[in-house]
Amino acid sequence: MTRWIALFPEAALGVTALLIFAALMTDRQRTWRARAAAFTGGALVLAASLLTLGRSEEFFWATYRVDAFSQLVKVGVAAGFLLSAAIVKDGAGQREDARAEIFFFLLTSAAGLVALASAVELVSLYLSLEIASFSLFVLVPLRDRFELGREAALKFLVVGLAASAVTLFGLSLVVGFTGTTRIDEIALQLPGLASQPAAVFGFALFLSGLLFKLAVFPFHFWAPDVYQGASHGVAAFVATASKVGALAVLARLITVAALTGTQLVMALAVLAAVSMTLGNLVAIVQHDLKRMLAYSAIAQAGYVLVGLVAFTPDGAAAALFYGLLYLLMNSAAFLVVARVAADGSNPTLDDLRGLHSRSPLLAATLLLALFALAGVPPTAGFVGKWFLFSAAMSQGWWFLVLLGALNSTVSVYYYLVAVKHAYLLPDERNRGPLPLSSGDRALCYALSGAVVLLGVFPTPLYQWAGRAARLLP
Amino acid sequence: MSGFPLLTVLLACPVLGLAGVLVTPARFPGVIKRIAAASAIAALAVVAVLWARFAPNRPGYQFLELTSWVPAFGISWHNGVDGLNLPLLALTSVVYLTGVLVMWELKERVKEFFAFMTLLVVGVFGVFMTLDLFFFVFYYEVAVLPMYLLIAIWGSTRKEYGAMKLTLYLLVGTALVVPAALALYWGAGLGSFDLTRLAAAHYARDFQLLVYPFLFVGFGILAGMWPLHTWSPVGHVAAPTAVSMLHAGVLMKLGAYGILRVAMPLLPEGAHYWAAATATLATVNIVYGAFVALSQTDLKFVIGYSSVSHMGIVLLGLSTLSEAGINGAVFQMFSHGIMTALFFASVGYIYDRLHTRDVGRLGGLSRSMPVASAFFIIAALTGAGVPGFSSFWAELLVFLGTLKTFPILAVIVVAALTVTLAYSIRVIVLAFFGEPREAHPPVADMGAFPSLPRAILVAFLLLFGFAPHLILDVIAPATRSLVRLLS
Repeated sequence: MTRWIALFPEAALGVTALLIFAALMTDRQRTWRARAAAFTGGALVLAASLLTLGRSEEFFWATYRVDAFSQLVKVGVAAGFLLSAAIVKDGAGQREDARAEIFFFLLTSAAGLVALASAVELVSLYLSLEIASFSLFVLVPLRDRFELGREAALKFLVVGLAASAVTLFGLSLVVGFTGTTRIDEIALQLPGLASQPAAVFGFALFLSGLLFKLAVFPFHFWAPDVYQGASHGVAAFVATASKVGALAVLARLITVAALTGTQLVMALAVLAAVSMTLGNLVAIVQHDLKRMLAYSAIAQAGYVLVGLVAFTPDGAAAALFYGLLYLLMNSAAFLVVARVAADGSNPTLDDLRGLHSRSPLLAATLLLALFALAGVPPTAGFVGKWFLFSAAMSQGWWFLVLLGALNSTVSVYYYLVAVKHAYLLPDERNRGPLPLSSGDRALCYALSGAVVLLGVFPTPLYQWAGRAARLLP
Repeated sequence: MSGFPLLTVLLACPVLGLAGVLVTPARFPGVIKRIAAASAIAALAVVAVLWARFAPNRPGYQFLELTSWVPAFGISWHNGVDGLNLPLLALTSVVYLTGVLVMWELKERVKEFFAFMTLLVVGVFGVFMTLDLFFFVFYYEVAVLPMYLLIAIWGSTRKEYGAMKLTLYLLVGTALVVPAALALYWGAGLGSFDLTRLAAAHYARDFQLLVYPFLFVGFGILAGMWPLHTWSPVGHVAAPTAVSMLHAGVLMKLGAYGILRVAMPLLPEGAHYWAAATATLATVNIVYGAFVALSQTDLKFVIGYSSVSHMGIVLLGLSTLSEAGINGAVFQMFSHGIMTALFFASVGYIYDRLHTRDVGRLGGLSRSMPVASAFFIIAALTGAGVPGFSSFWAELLVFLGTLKTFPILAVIVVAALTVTLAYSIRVIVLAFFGEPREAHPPVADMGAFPSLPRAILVAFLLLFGFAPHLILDVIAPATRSLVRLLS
């Protein structure tokens, strides 16, 4: 029976769901209670994931696999859930009567992501992907006082369902050619199928569902609208935990399916190149901070793909490592966005003006987060990109690496423009100091510290990611 | 790790300085300045110990520190000193201390200024001491980014434009260096970023010819290589005094040092193949920089273009791949660093008092502020290569090296030297002698405290001007082994 210990994180998720549900049943201070329940439960999930980090088991007719990789991803998802719950705070920007529900639906989405990390069979993988997405389809339209939010929600739903249909079609092709839905068995047959265009095509279509979640070109259209249209906490979850989950499965699929030499690899390389370039160039002209972060996310997804096209365990390890770093740095950026616009409105670059004097801590957090996203040492973004680019270089993708490095330079421009607003330009509206609660202060220190510490000493986390990637079946 | 980790201690000086500045509340600017000064003095003391205990004739690196950092990737904490980087560590510590002293009067956002400045110094020390390619690039970028904020917040003339231009140019340089560094790693197949091991690996000739330009241009941008130098004068003019000092004095040397430490030893065949091309570019630097400096009216622009010209001398010395040339290049890096720091420190003082740097509005300064003028004139004479100051020897060595390998270029460079003399004399005569062209309110001359940092710099120029062997004895053995490696 001890093998069921490996399912502790899932059990903790169930407990958390009950806790939040109970909080939602109450009449007074629903938001506050739901938030407390989310923190307690999230911490439980995080602890359970850390506790089971070394385990390796298979469940439910070997469709659900607990291994070092899945547990590390669960740590990331749990951390992402906790950070997003902290950023949500009182749910400003969400409809008054649906604020407490944010926590419940974020949790169900996190549950989908947790299951996604362990799914080693195409149908369970598809189902967890949908659970993760549908909860977010519910949350995005509940934005308050923002007309464009409805449009964003609709776009998210329609593009999401289209991606889902494409994924299903790809799945049917793959199953038709291989006669199985188990990833390891498919992987065994893939070398023989490499010359079958329809099979490769089916596999590519299946991947597109994950590329949609990652907002890789050409599945990126929803990202800017949803980032802008969703309330800050929800957008933070879409931008962090959701990305880590999708990224992890993509890394698993790509490592298991050694597809080197097929046209699929070239296709992924092209997507990586276009995503990086498009995301960075369009981000330059953005004025809305969350839209800028969305385009930056499209570019970041491109960087991760650069590591993944290597199709090596090194590449998967680098991608997982970068995903976890990205969670931290993007959460830090969203925390600043949410606190600068505490009323839930969408902040623009001009709202950052004078931040260094209004709240030096928030300004410093923003500085570190943006430098990390730009990949500047001593922040973690630098080592993260170094590992990704190194994986690509090991397989001779030097032009992708060069393009990635040049793109990082382009990205520095718009990140510096934001830094300029926060540090250089005076606040014309004289808004006075921006007070932070002690919890927010602690979060700022923790995230900034983690971003710098992991940048200078990445060794333990990278070793874990490397071990996880090498143990993949 | 063997022995006492003196180099880590050296790096810890600015790191602790940064930590100290960060934890001190912004309402105590005096304390913050003292913390920065203390960390600078400590760094200078450590460098003095290094210099005293350094044995020039022992082959290889000294004060070695080696600890595995990311074993899965072959990244190690590997520091060492030889004759090529010891002078540059010394240069950094001198400019760091004098830079802090020069900024003693700063009143605006003191905490942030010294935080960014110490971070910048961490990067510079790191580049000069590390023997690991990963950490080399890491520190290299650490040094670039604080620059943006330092210039954009505390700078003057067109500061936002200058800061952004400088940052983007330098990052394009690193964007070329990063793929090249990763190619070196995978090309060697050793699974190690250790520069000493990579230097022992042999790369195929085609690989060397392809990768060398990436490294030379990537690092060269930071060294002010023509035609990618335009960020440099603009950035220098925009930057506040201490940042100009650090930037022109030390940061531009990072680029030349990258070529010297990474590009040349790892890719010797590439260096030979491209030598004529890089030497020609360097000559263009020297001639072009000198002529443009001749036509400038802003004192800082004159210095900015003279830096472009003088860094050309460094690049030319490196391109000769000869002992004399490389000795001269390293000497010139040190000498030019001290000299430019002095230049900017003097101009900074004048600008703060008179609020203009335009030679058309100055004149007769040697009577109203004789001490400040003297410092500028000394720097200008050093720049012109007048014997008695350290640059004379450095430039002489580079010319001797060039004469053997590229005689035609040597002739051109000697001719350009007369232009250098001309622009130096021109600004001296226009700004410091004759009658004042505009009435300025009477200002006090430099007192004892502000004179101190400038006097330290002058002392170094004179010391190595009269006793060049003090530094050449340190550089020459290391150069000899490098040249042996190159041939």
